[in-house]
Amino acid sequence: MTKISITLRALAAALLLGGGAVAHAQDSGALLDALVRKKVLTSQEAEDVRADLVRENATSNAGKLQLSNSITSLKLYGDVRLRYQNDTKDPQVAVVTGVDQRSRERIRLRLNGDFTLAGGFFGGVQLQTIQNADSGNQTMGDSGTGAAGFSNYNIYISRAYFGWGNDWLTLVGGKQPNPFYTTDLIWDADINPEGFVEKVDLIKAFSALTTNDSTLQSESRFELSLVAGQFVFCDNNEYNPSNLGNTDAWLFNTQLIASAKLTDKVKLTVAPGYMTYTSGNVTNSVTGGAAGKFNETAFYGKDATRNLSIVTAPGDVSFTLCGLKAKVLWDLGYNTAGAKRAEAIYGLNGRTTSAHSHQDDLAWLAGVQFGENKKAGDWSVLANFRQTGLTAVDPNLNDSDFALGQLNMQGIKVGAAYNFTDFCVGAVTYYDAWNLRSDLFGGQTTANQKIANANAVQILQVDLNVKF
Amino acid sequence: MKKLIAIATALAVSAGFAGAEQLVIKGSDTLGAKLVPQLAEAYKAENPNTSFNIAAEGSSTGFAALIDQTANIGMSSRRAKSTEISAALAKGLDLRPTIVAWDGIAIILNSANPIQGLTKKQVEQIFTGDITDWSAVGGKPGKISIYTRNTASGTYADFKELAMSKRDYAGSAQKMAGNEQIVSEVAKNPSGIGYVGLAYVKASGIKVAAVDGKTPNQSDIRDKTYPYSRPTFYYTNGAPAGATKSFVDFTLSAKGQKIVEQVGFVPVK
Repeated sequence: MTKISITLRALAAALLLGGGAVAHAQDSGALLDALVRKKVLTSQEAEDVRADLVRENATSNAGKLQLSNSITSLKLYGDVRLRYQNDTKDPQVAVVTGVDQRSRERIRLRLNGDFTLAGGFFGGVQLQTIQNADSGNQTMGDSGTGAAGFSNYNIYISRAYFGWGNDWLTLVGGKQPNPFYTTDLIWDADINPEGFVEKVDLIKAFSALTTNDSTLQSESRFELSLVAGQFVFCDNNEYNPSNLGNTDAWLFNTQLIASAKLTDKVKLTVAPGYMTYTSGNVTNSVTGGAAGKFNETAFYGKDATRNLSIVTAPGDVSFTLCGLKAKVLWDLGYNTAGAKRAEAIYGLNGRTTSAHSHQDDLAWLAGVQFGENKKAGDWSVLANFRQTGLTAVDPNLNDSDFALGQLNMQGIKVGAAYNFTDFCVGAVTYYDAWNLRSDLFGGQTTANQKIANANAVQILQVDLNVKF
Repeated sequence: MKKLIAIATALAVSAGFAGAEQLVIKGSDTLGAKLVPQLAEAYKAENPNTSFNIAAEGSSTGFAALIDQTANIGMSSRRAKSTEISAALAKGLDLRPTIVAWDGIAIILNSANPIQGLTKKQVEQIFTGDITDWSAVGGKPGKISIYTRNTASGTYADFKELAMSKRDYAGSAQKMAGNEQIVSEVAKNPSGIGYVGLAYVKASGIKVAAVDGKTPNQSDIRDKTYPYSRPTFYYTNGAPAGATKSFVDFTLSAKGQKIVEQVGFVPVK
């Protein structure tokens, strides 16, 4: 081998090492061009190095993934969760369709791809098991869903969205992560609403519009954002005269999120908001949690989204306690149209049936949380108490785990989680709920509306979640 | 039948005809339409026992022929793609490039077009379809007609990389089989714009537009200060040998490089 040949191969090796195993000839093109311009290499020698690099790459399994030119970054990730779940339900009326006691082994898969594009554009896709909006859990061997006998499972699109943003404004369209500051009192954490969202960082916007520099406030102790969402809950055929509810059902939700660092270690966040629906006939089956079990007027039909005008007020104080992150949190929902909904949907007229109570219109939650789960050895615990009135929240959106999503319930949620590794978390969660009002029409609870037809519900969940 | 022809060609390529050498050269229209035939003629004058079979249908066809082992030399105006290298390696072949000439991709306009020059940004905007009217770049109002090479062409790929930030061509672009067809169309169409190798710019009815104030010339192409400069290649399976080596050496010789210059390319040396 000649001296120049040895030198060239050494250079090629250096370029490969410098660029990692994914090095391509074109990646090193600028360096080779510079070496040619400096007359270190001739053009032909540079070409030989390029050819060597491409050949090395062709015989390697690294660096073969090709991405669109428009992508500036792409993150692929996901998780698989195994869950044991035991539900015990004490129904008031024995005709309930569903189960009074059941134990299940469940699996949930989520695959995510988040990308950023040039010019402030971004987006994401998520695929997961199960069509339900509020749960990705596939019960193993579930004969009810045709999964017995080692059947394979479907995969569904749970997120597909893109948006644009700058320092102070973000616009997003599609089926997307919930943009609101919230708890599972109002919004089940699994739900990805679909529609349009606008977020404005008001402090940065003010700074940008008055000084043309939105970065001036980046060290501020205060944050103030406005989030507005317009979500399509059910699309109907407006031109069908035989369809009584021929208008679409839209959910409009607006929230002001304010936070302040009270000290270096204490932060207060409050997020008052308001959500309401346009009247609309929910003609398509709503899948998920309690709604999936009970196709009745609270979820399905022309009254499903009627008389829901809910004022919300979640918040928290986060701080450090004994070196651990800790949080005291709360949430509140009050349906200002609760009396009308109580009569129209649940039949509480106070004359021939039970009377509506303002307790029905209120939902609230208070709790604490210690620790976090980020790396091996981390642990956390949580506990909260809540009351959810009969008309206080949209039963299509509230947590499907607490009391199986039932309304007119109160109770506790306690849990603990531990990181076995950075990517593997074990968790145990227990819910104990009992009815809020016991004097509703039809007995202790409402016989006509199975969503409120429970005296008590206990749920135990044992999870092992692996992230990748 | 096609297979039989391929096998026969392969045998002829690998063994040579009894008493006579045939070199099968396939690939780039940029090289194969003018330069390589003239080099072949000059070579044959010195080596009468050598015959040539030259097919110039685009750089991609040269790599395909090399991989199928139906050509001795693949002419290319672009570098081999990683997929082509991989395909060759899978067959135990080693595609090796030899730079035989430098070229500059010239932007050509109809000679009646009042525009003398464009910026690199404007060139990108025109060929990607961001700009569709000549008035947007200071010309007379009128829809821009874009002429490009077809997808088998190395120039087609090179131009995307050199001039278009790897973006796609405008949907309205008309794809031509060769440089001469682009010259012909632009010469006929006052609203036409296209690109061709440097060897094809001396034709009536067209003119070369400066890019960022530079028109393609030997010194600017060789030192790459002209933005659309590029090397052109012979690709062979491994280091050239036998008659193939002899022809490659002839191309790089002073005599060969003189022909390179006469045809309109920039010599390597």
